[in-house]
Amino acid sequence: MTYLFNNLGYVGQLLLEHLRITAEVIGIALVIALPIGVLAARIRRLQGPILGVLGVIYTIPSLSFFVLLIPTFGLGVTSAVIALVAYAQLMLVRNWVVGLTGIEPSILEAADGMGMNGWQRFWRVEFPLALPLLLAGTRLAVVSTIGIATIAAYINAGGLGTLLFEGVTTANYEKIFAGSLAVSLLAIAANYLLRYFERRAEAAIRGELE
Amino acid sequence: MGEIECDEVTKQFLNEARPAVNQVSFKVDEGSFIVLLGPSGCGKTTLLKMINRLYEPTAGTIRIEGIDVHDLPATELRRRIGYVIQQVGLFPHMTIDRNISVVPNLLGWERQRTDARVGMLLDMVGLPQAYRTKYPRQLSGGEQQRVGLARALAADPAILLMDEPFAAIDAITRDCLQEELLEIQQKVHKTILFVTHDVEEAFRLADKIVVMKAGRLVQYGTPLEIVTRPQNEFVQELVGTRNMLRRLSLINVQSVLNGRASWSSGQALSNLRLNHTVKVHPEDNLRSVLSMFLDSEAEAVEVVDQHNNQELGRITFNDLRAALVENAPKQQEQA
Repeated sequence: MTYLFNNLGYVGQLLLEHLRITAEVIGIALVIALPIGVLAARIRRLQGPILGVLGVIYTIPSLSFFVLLIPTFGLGVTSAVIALVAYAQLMLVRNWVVGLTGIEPSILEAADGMGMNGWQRFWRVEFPLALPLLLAGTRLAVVSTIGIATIAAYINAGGLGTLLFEGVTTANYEKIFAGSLAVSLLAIAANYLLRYFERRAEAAIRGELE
Repeated sequence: MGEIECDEVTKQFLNEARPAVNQVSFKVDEGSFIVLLGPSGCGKTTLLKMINRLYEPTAGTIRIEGIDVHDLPATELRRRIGYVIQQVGLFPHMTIDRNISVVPNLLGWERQRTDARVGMLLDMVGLPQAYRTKYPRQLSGGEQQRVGLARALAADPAILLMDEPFAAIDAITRDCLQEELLEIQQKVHKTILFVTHDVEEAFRLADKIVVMKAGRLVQYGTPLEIVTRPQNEFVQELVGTRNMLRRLSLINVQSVLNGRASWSSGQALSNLRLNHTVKVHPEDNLRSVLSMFLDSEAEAVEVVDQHNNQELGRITFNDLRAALVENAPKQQEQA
């Protein structure tokens, strides 16, 4: 604990780095996952292949994925972000597709029958109704990104993983403990916060929001 | 807008042996209440969905006020046609107010105008104004369908398509809703196309009935025409034209006063007497016995055993009356 209190500034800086990487990853991942999910939900034939490919990507061990990207993108944040974005796709796309395809057909029929065009139907009906599942997927992706990003420190991407790898090379257990504690607290806090938004979105589509 | 004409309309789905709708032609006058009646799989819903272009016909044309619906953008067409479905399909994340406002909002009405319209519609379908802020899941099934009707009527369309709207609703509520729908129709005079497999419902609501079977239009006529001049065995079976009580319910008293003199009833009755050995089985109910009395002019019906045809007794018209008096509901005596 003494390490943590004596180096709050440094740990805080790494924590911010870690948060920035996570936010960047989730932001980019969502931009990619949303259209892919819509495509997979609209064209059922594509669902299997898309989720299959994303599943295979997810099984690549993180360290080897990072190392694989180094020749092309070099050491540092870029390689880390690319790998993390690829990992996040499975959770985001899968949940988004389940959310979109789980909407009661009669609700969509009513939307069409009222004369909504595709765009209106998406924004007014499908998006809000699938949102809770998308948020659930986002929560999973955030927590897993926070975890895997720790390893990205190994390829000089920074973040709280730096404490762990520095701690291991210098046999400084206080440092390892401080790093682990900070990562865990970050993951738990993120999970809790996102769960709150998820619940609100669920309440909204059940008509329970005051 | 309100007159609908189907001309040789056919819908063939992929991978299906016969067309779901097969060369159906009929014309609907503005402001009339048409019921599409037939067993499940007869194509009535498919036909309905081609009118607002949720399905596109494989062949034939549908015209509204003489304009081929295919020449209109689908979304624009649908905003001008009210649509009510069995599962109601209210948007669960929207308040009742926003649900009803969907089409006016799509049409870009001003908030004030939509607001007034929603208030008026809630009154019309018999829901309190306080429901505006409620959500669909807080409402009963019957109330939800009232909202469904209000939503369909929101932009004051000339045409209303209703796909088995009351089929999933309990019998007592369904009765009320049918009654109210007729009352609403008295006020708004929409052209209504109403799909049902429920014969009672069809006869209660329809100005004219389209009877369908296996994709074909079998008969198109008023309820009375369908009962008195059924096209074939199928129509007879479906609507139970042999059921005297239904026939009675379709003829009003005035028409008896008007027509009585000209009826050659003497001759008709003597024809009936010819087949007056009427037999019933012990487990038949008195409704069918009454129907037989009306049909046969017989003084009494013979009760025979179902298996060996042995006579068990006779029932007269007076027995029916006596049975009713004996089994009349009695008021509980108050203490």
